[in-house]
Amino acid sequence: MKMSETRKRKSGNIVVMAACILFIMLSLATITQPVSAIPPSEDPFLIKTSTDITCSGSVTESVSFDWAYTNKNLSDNTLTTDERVSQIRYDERTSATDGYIEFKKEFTADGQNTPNLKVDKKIGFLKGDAVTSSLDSTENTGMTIVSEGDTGGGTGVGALCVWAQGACVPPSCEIAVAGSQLKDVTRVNSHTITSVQTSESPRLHHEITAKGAMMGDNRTYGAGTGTVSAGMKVDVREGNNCNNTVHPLGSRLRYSTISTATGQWNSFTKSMTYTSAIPALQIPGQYPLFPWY
Amino acid sequence: MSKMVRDMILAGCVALLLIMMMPYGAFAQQGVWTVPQPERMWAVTDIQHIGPLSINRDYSHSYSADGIIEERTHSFNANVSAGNSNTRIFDVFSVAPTIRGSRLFVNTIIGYNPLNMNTSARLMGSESTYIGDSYNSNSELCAPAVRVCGVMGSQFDLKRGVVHSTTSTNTPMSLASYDFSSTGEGTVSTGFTVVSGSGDAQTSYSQRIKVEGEFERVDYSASFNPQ
Repeated sequence: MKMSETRKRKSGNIVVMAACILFIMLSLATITQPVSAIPPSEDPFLIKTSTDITCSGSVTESVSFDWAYTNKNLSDNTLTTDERVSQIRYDERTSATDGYIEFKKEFTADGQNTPNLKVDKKIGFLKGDAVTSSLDSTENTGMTIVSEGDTGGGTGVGALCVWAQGACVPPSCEIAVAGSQLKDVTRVNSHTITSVQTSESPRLHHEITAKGAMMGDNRTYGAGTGTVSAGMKVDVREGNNCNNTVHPLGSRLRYSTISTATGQWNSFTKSMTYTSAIPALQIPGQYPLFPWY
Repeated sequence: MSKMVRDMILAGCVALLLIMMMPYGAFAQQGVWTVPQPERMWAVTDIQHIGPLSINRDYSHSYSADGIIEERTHSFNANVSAGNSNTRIFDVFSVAPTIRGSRLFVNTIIGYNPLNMNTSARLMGSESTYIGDSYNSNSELCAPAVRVCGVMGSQFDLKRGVVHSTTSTNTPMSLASYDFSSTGEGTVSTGFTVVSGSGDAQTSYSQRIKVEGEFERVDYSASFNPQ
């Protein structure tokens, strides 16, 4: 009898211990589960394309990308209370005719992680024998953020910050576009980098480095030839209160730059960045530390 | 045997017959594909040939069930015009049902080498795949209503060379990828277009590439993942 009671007690203890372990594991699983915040779109996506071409002849390439999202309803075509609408656009068109072409491009559009858009493009072009031989390449990117402002506070740990609770973020409109162009170019080695993000710490960046190219059988260096341009335009407006019906304009910022070189250039470099200074909820965006901007 | 017993046996037989005639899907549980799925199918083609050649393939399916609509259309053709040319084609095409939808996989390699370069013979062809998916919102999965449409494909017109493409689509994740590579002489075009939308977001992406002349390398890779 005692033996069987001891066995029963032992097996009972094992069941209790197993239940405890299971409970602890489930609790841990619940605690360590990441908060499923996918701000601000409910339609995350990932588009990746990779292009690598080496050709003696002609190459044409065109890309068009457009992503618009809101924290409310995109279809109602109105800006409701505390609504934020964002749009990222990217267009590129390249036409290289009758020459030697090396073309490499990596495109990534990510609705979940930043940067939301990242493009790395390299073009090498040497004119061929044909009189019409030349390269045209145009790249444009843009970012638009329209915000009705914020009075309701946010979510997550950052929103617990006492200065963020019930914070007044006035309405704002941010428009930033940047791009570069190679026109009637007969010799070039060009590299452009584009990155845009709106889902965290809004930022737009475009840079171009255009140089000459090695040419001929003895690989002598020849300067870049043709026309190269790069520029950026920014227009930001911000209100000065959180009143939902009256929106007095508090500030306006405008910036425009364009650089153009025609003829022969040994080096053409231009880097342009716009970083939004309008905080979402008065929480400074410091994370992550790397990549360092 | 009394008439009542005979009637009962007859009624039982009729009920059994009706049960057997019912589609099995009618008994499937909620959350499981409840209408006929795309059939499992595959085809492997391996041809080594000298002379004119023609290959065509058209495939399409459309299914809707359990809050999902899935459409797939795929077409492929390749022609070698008259002439003395050496052609090698290796092609794999497969469709397999998944829990809610299907997985489409196509892999095609064509090598074309005319025995005489002065000939006017060419390898010409095209490939195109369309995906169309629509999901109703699912509150249990916290998933919004989403629509996805995409087209990917290529065209080629070669005096000589190789084309290689791989297409893969998967439902319910709408994961689609397309890889195209080519080397040789002639003209190749490729690209990828996708449009997706939900209640609060719209995304569109389109890319077109055309290469003419003598090309050492054309490598193109595109993927779309709604995550």
